[in-house]
Amino acid sequence: MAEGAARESGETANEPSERQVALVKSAVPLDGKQRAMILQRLRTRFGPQVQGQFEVDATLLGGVQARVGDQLIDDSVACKLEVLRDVLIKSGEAE
Amino acid sequence: MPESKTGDIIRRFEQEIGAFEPRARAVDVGTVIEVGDGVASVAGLSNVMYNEMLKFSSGVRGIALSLEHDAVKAVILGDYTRIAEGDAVFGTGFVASAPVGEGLLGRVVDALGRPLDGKGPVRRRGYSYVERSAPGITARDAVRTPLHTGILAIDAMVPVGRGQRELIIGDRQTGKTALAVDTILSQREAAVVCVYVAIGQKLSSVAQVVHTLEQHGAMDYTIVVVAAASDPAALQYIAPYAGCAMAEFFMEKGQDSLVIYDDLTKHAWAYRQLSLLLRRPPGREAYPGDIFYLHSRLLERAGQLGAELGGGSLTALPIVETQLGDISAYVPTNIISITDGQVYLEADLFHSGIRPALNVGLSVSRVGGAAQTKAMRQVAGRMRLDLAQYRELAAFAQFGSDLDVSTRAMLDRGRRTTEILKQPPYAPRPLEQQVMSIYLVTRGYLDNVPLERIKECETAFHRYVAHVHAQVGQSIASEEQLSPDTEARLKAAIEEFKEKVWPALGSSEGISGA
Repeated sequence: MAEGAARESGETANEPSERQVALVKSAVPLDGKQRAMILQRLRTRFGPQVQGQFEVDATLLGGVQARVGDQLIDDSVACKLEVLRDVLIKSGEAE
Repeated sequence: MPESKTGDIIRRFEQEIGAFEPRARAVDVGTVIEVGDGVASVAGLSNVMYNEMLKFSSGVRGIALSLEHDAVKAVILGDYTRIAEGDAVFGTGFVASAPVGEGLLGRVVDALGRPLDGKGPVRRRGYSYVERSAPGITARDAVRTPLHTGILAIDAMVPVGRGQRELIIGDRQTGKTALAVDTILSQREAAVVCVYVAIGQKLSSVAQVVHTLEQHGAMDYTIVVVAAASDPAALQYIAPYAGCAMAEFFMEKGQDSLVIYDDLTKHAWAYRQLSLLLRRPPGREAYPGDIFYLHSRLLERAGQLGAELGGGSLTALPIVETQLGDISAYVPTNIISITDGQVYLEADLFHSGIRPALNVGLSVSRVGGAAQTKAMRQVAGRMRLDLAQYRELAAFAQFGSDLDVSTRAMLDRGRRTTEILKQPPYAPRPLEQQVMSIYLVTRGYLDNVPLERIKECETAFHRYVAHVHAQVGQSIASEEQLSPDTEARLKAAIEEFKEKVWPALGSSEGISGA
């Protein structure tokens, strides 16, 4: 019984699985050196099992975005502009 | 726009942009696996909080309402047709909140505090959680300050105190909303901040209420929160909690506030819809098991805070619509048991011209006399019982013609009292007028005035007192009681009026006395 419960709780989505894919998007194509650097950073954070999958997405405007499982690390220009937009709207509304 | 103002805005923008530090953002993300009818199932989002605001990739917002083993179920606060399977969903890290502050006064906003009145952005002081726990026992004080509703029948017989929860219940078209709006209108002098929450109503009805409030200058101290019938059920579900949070801001500042939830029947319907779509097991009348908690946690947030917490108050007037006068249905009984009393409006009374259509026997205020001014207690002490007795007797007396003198006198007095209690909508009355009106009828001064001229006599008397004996009204209003001295002056004024003014009015307008 207790063993079963432990197994159940271990199966949460957060648990690193055998192999994890990191979907890395960038505004412009990345060269091998840049890819290796990004992958290394992701592996120190999410574990050595992380595999990289690289895509180009012009809507990001600049920078990179990486999604590993439930986590999205967004360092794109589009994201920063959105955050800035929220900050400006909020400062306008505050009394 | 003047030059300086433009410059101000540019400078402020420069300041904000200068202070802005672009940083990588790590957010929780999930994927939509199922969507439809205002709810979505999302895989992932394993770190999401209960009631956290979610953002779908199309920009639509949602709230995480069910955290399950392998999925999160969210209700969608917008157009769910813009969400597709496979869309990304982002956690925002913020639990559902509503903007609060003085800047909301005079505004019409939706359940998330977004403006609906076209008057520009809402100026807020901050955000407050939509779901909050109610003040504890030690934080509270007894309800003992009257909340003047301006409606004679209520102030005299079912008085409402500040911090009380008084249910307004009745069939459709019995004047429930009018009663609530009247109460808002009479808070102008009392400095009570009002929040009117419209849940699941037609937008035309809401527009009418807003128009009435504007016409009487009541929007200056009122916030209107609207989740109309056409809005998603999720917005209708959170609207009363958001309205409550907006009122709590004033209560916590030490002010008095009043919230009207119009109406909680439709709120229960919206929650039933959500619960069924979220696949929660249905119970009685297909309502979910936590339908009681839905309303109890909302209404418990009303109350009178103790002096050490500023002494503010939040009065709640929930409205419930019954079907064919059935107050023993599921939701009405729930809410009756939560509130501190109810005002029961009856369709039959309404159609026979008794408006407000208050059923005296079934309406109660469990706070009672403690929330009444002394003046009102002095004159209206036995009124509720007398009137209830009269209604009973009147039904009985229809069958017999031979009645003894005392019974006939009682019926006669009852008819006159009923007449005095009639009041047109949107005309709340000040305390001193109410006290004088009740004094007139309970002390028998109207016994020889014909029934159809009671209202005319009352109006003429108020006009006469205001012009000739203004100090009588002033002293009732300021002392809030009928001192022997004031009572003597009031008596003298009435006798003078009945002797000199009233007969003259009768003849000049050509109406016979009998």
